[in-house]
Amino acid sequence: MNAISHRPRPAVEVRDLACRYGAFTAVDRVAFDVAPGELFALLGTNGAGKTTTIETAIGMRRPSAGTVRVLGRDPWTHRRDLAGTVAVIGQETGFADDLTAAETLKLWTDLHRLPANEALLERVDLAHRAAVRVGALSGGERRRLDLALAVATGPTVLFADEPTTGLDPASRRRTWGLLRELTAQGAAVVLTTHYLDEAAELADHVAIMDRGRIARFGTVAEITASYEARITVRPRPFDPITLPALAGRSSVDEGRLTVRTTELQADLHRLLDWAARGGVELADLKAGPATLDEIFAELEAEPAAAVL
Amino acid sequence: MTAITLAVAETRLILRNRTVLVTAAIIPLALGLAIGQSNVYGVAESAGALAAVQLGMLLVFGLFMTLTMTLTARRQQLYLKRLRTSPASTASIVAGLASPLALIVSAQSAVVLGASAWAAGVPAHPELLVLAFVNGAVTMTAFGFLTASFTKTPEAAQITVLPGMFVFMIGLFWALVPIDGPAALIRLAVPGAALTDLTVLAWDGTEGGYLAAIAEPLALSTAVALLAAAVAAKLFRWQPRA
Repeated sequence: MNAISHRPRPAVEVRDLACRYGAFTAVDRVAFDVAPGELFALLGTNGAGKTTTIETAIGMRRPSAGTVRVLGRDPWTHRRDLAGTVAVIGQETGFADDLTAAETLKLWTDLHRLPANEALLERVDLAHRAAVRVGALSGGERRRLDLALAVATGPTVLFADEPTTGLDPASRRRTWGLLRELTAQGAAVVLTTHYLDEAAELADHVAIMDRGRIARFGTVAEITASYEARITVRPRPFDPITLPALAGRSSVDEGRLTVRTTELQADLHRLLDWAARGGVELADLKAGPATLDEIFAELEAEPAAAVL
Repeated sequence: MTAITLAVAETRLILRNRTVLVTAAIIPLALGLAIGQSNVYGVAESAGALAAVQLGMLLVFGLFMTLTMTLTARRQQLYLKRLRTSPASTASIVAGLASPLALIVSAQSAVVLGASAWAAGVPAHPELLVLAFVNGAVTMTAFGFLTASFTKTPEAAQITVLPGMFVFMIGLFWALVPIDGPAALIRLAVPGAALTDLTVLAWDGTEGGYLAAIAEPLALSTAVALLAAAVAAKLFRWQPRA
């Protein structure tokens, strides 16, 4: 079991979750907790099991095995009870195309028995599009309207499935701001995203899913620290035979040298010294801990996910 | 309350979609009036028989067919999935989605049957017309949800509604053929037959006891409507198949 437990009294508790479609296992023994005020990011490639995990957590799917508790309740049997305090931003917005943006927001607040709040459209920069039918909104505008609906109910828990996909940089930052506000107010946020920089920027904890299982878990710093640091450079001129002895592993691809090392400072010093003595230019030199992108690529290349 | 909220939104959606508006409002009304016109030529056996066919056609085209199409479209848009993440109960979602169409059909029925009553005289038991309509509307709503459960797209609904249409129309017309004995009871269990039976009784009057005449069609058609609703509740999917 890849169990992860790091908080008392979590808002979201997932234990040994398995979801199967016939013979295909979409989610396999996944476990995690999300505390109030925490932003938890689920990363993974398409088909990794993120959306199935989210759909189970919002009560749209019944788990094949394991349990999910949201605010202490089973979302499958208590969907309606939780709907007032749990908000969802899906990958697809699920709007009726022939209602306007303002009507869609009003429908949503009415269903939650909340007063109409058109000011929310201003917060997501859609006030000028209030009278436009949803079907005529751009993809980014629909995402922003979805965000307004999620925020409208003042949720205790928010499940956001790729909420910034298709947004321009300014809208992404605005979305990040709203997510930060929610967590600052004590909401637990479960975020899935393809943007690793987004996870690095927002998440308190990150789980990387691979083929239905959680392959890595921790803070971004913990995950990146568990991987070797990288030095990449294009030495000019470059004769690999002349390279100094390094603590890390070197590889060369089309003139680009990559060194994976646990001794970043020492190996970097050796390379700089080698370049200075040999008159070698170190073009495009980069040195630092492994990025989430690099870790992600490595996990994808592995034959099967390592289980925590 | 949430059912009314959803019904208001659904009404807006129907009014703003020309295809649905024509399918739900114009075609059934024109068909109902055209069938009524046939009475002028003495085609129908009685005013009750004519009213039953009118009512049946309005429910088939205005409610069953349109509901199947709109449910499939709303599911495809993931609108139904979104509603399931709201505090709205299943019952209020069903009522909110179906009631605008049921109201349109009830208004059309009032127009069409009103015209028939003006031409052929008022029905003997108008309350039975209401019973027949409610019964038929519940059955057609259940059929709509049931058919939408295996219909992938609104376009496919034009084909998938055919079995439901045929079954209901067989019941509707079969009940116009006079038969006796156990076969008559079996016939009443066919969806649509009770609608004809009750409407004919409403218009042309009951022979023998009033309660005895309506008990069988009412009980059997209610059982059929509840069975259809139970199967629909079991099979209906709120989001497209993964």
